[in-house]
Amino acid sequence: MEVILNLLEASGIEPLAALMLVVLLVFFAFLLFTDRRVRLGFRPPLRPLPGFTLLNDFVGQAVESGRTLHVSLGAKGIGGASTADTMAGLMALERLAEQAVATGLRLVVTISDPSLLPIAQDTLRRSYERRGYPQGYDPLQVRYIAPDTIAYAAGVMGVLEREDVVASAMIGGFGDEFLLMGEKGAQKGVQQIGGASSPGTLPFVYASMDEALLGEEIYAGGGYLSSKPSHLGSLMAQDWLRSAIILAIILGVAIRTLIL
Amino acid sequence: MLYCPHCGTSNREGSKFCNNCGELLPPSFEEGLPPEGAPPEPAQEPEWLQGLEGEAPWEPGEVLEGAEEEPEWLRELGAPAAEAGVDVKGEVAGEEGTAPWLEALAGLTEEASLEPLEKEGLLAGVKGALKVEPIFSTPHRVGEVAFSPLAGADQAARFEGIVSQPLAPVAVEERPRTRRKEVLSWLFYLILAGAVVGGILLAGGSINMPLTQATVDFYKTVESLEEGSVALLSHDYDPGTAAEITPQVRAIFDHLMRRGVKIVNLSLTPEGQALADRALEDVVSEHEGYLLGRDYINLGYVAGNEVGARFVAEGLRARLSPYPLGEGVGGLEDVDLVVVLAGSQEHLRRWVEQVQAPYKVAMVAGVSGQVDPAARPYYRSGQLKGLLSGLVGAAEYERVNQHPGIALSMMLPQAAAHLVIALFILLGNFAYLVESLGGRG
Amino acid sequence: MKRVLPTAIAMATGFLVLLDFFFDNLYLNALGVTLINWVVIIAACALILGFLNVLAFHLRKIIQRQEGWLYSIALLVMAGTVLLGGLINLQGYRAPLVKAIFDYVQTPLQATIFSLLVFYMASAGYRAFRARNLETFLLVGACLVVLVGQAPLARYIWEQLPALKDWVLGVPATAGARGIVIGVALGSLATGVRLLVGFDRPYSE
Repeated sequence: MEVILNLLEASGIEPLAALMLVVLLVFFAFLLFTDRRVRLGFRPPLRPLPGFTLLNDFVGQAVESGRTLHVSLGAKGIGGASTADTMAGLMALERLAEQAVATGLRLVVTISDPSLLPIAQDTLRRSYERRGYPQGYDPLQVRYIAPDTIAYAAGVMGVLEREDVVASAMIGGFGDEFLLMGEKGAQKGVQQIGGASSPGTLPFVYASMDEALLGEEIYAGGGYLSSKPSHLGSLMAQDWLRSAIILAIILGVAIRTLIL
Repeated sequence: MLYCPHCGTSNREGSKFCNNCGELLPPSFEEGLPPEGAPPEPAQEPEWLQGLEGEAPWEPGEVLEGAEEEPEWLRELGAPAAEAGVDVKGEVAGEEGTAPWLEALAGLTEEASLEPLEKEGLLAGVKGALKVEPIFSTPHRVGEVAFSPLAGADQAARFEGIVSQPLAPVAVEERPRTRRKEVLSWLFYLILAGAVVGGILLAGGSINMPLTQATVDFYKTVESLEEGSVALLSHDYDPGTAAEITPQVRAIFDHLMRRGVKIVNLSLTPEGQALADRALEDVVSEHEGYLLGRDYINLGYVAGNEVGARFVAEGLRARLSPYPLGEGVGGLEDVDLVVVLAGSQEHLRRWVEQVQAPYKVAMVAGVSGQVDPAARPYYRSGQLKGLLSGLVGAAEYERVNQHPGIALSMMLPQAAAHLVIALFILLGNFAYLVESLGGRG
Repeated sequence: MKRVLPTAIAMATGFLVLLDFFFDNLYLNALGVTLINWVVIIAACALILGFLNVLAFHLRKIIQRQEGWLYSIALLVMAGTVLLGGLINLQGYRAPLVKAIFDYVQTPLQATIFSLLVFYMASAGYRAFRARNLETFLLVGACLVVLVGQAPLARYIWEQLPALKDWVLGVPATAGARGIVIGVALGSLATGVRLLVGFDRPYSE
């Protein structure tokens, strides 16, 4: 143990940081292995997530009604701790954009962080280009509402109130303001799916959404919606690492309780 | 379930268009199939089907071309390459499985394609996978064919009839907002508003608040600071959560100033700086001798979120050097206490992760009520020495400080609101019970 | 090249900042700080993009007289007023006009919108928190215990209610939150690693 600590000090790395680095490297190794397995044809069994099932139905319903589909990428953005949450929203947007372009559906995307603007617009533009319809792309389909979360929620409530929205997908980083948007949609009779990772927001997600994605379920979009090999592989790798953490917790509790 | 003839996606009964590719759906595939129990037709493989090898149908979730490729560096590592063109078959979550005949048609492995997939019926002896085509479309052939033209013509006529129907978008069945529900909602809002206003009007003084351990620990941590210590306060909240956090801030300022602690203020949110200024103006007026620049300072908004927190930790000396307060402050190691005032979870997390964990500085937090579940683990693990939660936390702190303020006077209306909402939840369950019993009866 | 270059830049900068986080090295620190400075600049530029997006959308709405175009005029007038007010003597948020708008317009409006939460909570609670099965029964039970227990008058209803509320918040709720936080951390780790190594490339074709 002393040798390891001295080695770490010589390398200029703190013991806790070293542990984090080890976990990161282990996960990376898992990911490489599982990604390769999936590309070679292995299909990991996925439990059904009603939220993503409903997401696949969204475009069909919106097309049949001739109304608008609203997508919210969250009240946060890219570049901070909520990057993963926003990426989850982008995954859903990518899927919905592909389907919307194919069916000629009107899509409205609202964002709160301006750093997301070029990425969201790019996702839409690429969808149009892939379908051979670049002239259909309108950059103002992506709307920057406001950086403040409450102002963002007020803007989204306005979109749900004034524009003919039939369905709304809200997946990303949210706080309290989620209930304002979710409840407005519920009162307007809009079909909604939503997901957030913050524990404090989950009761609001559960209460106001038709189907809820709770916690880390929002990160599984790439695997459920597009079956990307790297996403399916990373779901497996996450499960393995989670099992290792559970084992470590149980062992730690047992050791502390029985021995120490 | 209806299966799209073009892409194979399952769709709900009654759908006119495919959810996945948007193509028009036929009324039902079953109409084109012989009834159950009917004897199979004699197996006569038509000439045009013999040896036909089709492409695998596109399945839901199939990776779009170019959308997901291995990064170049991974490919070049020389790992056993995936079969060219092997696609991961996506499965629509929640689907109960595709029809066996469709799965059979979609069989894609080379091994499967070597054996005939169908042993009887029209497709007997067919090898390889077939592209899913509408079964009632008749391909144009010149010359004799070995199947009955009458059945094909009938199906073709049916198909033509469907295609010639005018396209009429089906309105999605909306959930009507009935008059009764609207009246009920407004009644709830009025009752709630009445309870809160009544609580405000009836509140005559402060309530005898019980104290939680988290609040007591917060108080003790501040109380342990000596005169001349330095406290760093980060005001990471907005006007929405200010109603909960500003009373905490006033109580904390008051306590720090009574201890003679130097206060450095900043904010990682644009609105926080102005809110901090307002709270400072109110409290400083009660503490004569507390001078701006010498005893307290507001560094303003620091951009960058997580990056901003690290910047503050690493560059504190440079930021404070223009002020008399900065004398003797070499860096974060000279800060005796960091107080995080967080309106949301990530504001708290970024300070704990970017500053408390690496620098091991003493930290306490005042948070909005909804951040409490996320903040508690940090408090219980010892990373936060104390925790104030919402308006209740502010009221407890005013009580332990023996300096009643707005938070204590708001406890009665808050209690009224809590009780009314709890009543509504019970009412909702009662209504559900009545509906269930009425439905069963 | 169009795809390789952005990926290479993203991976290289990501790894550099990651190494800076783990290792305490003079050169890495300097490089990390420089890259982080650039992030702040890019975020500021993105704010300008966002403002242009708002301008374009609302101007189009006004020109085409779409529904709600009067609100768009009000929005643009307010935005312009705050912008110009802050530019006077370059005082920023401390300019008297900006401060007045913040104190007497923005703060009360934001507080008002936020306070709608309590009304929406009431209607959502009535509609959604119903004990349909064991799980939802536990959910409703915990919700009632914490709601009533958190109220300062709880101990007049039942003496043990505050203690029960503390137990619910401190044990099952914290345990659940910890579980969710661990799961979210794993998900964030997976997303970050996929971005770092180039599996996900939202920035390129």
